[in-house]
Amino acid sequence: MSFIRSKLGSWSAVGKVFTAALILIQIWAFYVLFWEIPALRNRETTAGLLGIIAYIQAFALLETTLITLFLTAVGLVIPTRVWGAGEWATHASAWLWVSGAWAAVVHFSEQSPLAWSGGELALWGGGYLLSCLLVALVVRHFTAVSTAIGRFVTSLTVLAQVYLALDLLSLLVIIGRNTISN
Amino acid sequence: MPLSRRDFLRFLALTPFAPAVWRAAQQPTAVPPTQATGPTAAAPNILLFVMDAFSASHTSLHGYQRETTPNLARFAEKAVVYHNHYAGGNFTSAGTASLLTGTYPWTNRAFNIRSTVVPPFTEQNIFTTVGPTYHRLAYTHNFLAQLLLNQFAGDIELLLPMERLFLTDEILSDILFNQDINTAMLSEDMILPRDERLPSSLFLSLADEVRRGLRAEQIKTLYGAQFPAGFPSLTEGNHPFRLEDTIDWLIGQVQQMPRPFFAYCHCLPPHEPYRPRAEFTQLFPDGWVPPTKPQHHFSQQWPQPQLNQYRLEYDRYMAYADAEFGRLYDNLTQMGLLENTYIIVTSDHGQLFERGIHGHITHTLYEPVVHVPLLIHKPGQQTRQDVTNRPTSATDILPTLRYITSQPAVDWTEGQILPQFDETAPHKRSKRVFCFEGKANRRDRPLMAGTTMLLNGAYKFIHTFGYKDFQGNVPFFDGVNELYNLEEDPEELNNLFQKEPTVASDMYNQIRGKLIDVDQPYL
Repeated sequence: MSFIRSKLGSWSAVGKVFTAALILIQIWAFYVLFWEIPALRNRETTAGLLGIIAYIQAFALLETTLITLFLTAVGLVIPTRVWGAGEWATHASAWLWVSGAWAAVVHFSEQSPLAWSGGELALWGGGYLLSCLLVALVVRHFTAVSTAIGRFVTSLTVLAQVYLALDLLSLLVIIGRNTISN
Repeated sequence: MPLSRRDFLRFLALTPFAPAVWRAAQQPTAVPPTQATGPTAAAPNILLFVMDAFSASHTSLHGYQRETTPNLARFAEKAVVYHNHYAGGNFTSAGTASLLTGTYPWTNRAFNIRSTVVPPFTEQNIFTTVGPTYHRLAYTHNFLAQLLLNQFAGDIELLLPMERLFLTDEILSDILFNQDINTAMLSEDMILPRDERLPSSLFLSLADEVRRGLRAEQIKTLYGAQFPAGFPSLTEGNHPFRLEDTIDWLIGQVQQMPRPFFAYCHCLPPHEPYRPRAEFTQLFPDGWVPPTKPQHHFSQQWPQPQLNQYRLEYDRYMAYADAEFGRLYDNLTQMGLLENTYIIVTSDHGQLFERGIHGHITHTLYEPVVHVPLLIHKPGQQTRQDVTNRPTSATDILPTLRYITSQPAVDWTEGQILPQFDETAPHKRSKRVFCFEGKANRRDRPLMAGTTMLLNGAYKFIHTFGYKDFQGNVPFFDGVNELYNLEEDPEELNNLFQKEPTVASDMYNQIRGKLIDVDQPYL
């Protein structure tokens, strides 16, 4: 326990990273769903529509959990001096949002990353790594930024709890749909 | 053995969904076949072979100038060839639902992309028509057709999930969510793939794309020489397969299936992306330039040279599909199955390369996208028969199967027994053949917008209605109307709507009357 505390700060830090990931991943999922609703409404029954929303929400929870576990593992492996004592959650949250922004840009660009030329790969990869490094340096050296991120994540807790409740409800819906014969 | 992504995801998903997985584990994936007994055991087998997006307008069998279908022509020498056969819709959901239920999309309501049929037709379809005395098998490469087949799964002894014959078996829904398969498949299709729209997964979809790319490279090293232009696949780069594997599987199944059998095999080629095998990639170096047609209101603005290139690739892919069909046909011949099997070859819709439109996701209903082949070999048939004088519809196949299997006619189908089968009343037919496109509608509401086609002799009437930005060409008629004489103008270039008002008015009234009728249950 003391090892984990020394690395991550506290257990609540894991909760903060989970919150940051959940909000980001859920907002994206809702955004995509928003555009699909008209087509879904045309062809699906209400039960079918709710079912699709449930699967998407449940996967968002799964994705959030995996990302949080990944970042936790990274936090446990990397020496504390890289993050700064007790700063893992702040760095992880900042990295998540920067990565989320880049992921969204990639999604909006019609080209597949697999089709990138060497130059494009260097441009995208270089830009991403540079932005991550920049944000990490800002968080590391500007206490005000670090504090603001921490406060912002804390302020998202209630919203995250709502999303989490929706996701858990979605799990129940999925279990119900697969348990009760049609 | 290394843990694959599939295994890893399956393991992760099993934890929260344990009850569902447990439930799914209790369900057999296929009901063990039972041997039919009694007189029905001697009934003829039926093989319904569908090639997706196979336009009759592109088959040399129907006069296309490129030799795209030599094997279909060979098959035609022992079959009934229907020269004026039409799909019920212009894309997979609508076209396949019409074929499988004997009803038009306005009745079965599968007119949206990824849609399924409304409840009565889960019990009233081609599989229930042939009935449990037949050993029923179904397979498709097509995601949209799979959704329909899933609805009929209770009446199919062996419904093989599409990914089982793909080079990558990646779809998890049928394993994890067997009881809720269609909703799960539709959701899975929205979560990870990036091919058609934004995925709902922000991060893992990108990781998944990279993983797919790596897997594609592995497959390329195995089969790349056979498919230098890329593999046949469900969508560009995703879910690759080889048609050869499907044909081999089908041959194996018909060899060992209990008799009588009903096999429905719905192959994706020549549906895009066009990826023929190596020996077909250089076909047709003729430099042929098809006639250029005027741009349509619903044009996708494809330049004609690009459309011509797509057409060439499509024709080559069609030749590949035809060759594989030929291999199937040869095997069936060698097995002696031609003596006791009806072999039906058709398609769910066609494909367009004109008026600035490529493909079949369009509001238009021009010939290349709705005129499809239909050939039926009757058991023991040795000569060719041609049906040229009457139009036929995909909705006619189900009532014909009822006739073949000695079952009474039903009133819920909108089709009729095909010519050359209903010999007792060949002249009583007063046949109206429709086709309907209505992707913009809600399936639980009256039709608000769409395109309807009606055939009457040589005349073809197309009525497009409800699109706000597409105004009518005659003020007192609702919508946009086109009338063509297909005998004199097979390319549909000369709109006779205003030149032949009597014919136009009669056909318009028939279409409007039909649209009013089909709306009744939803008013």
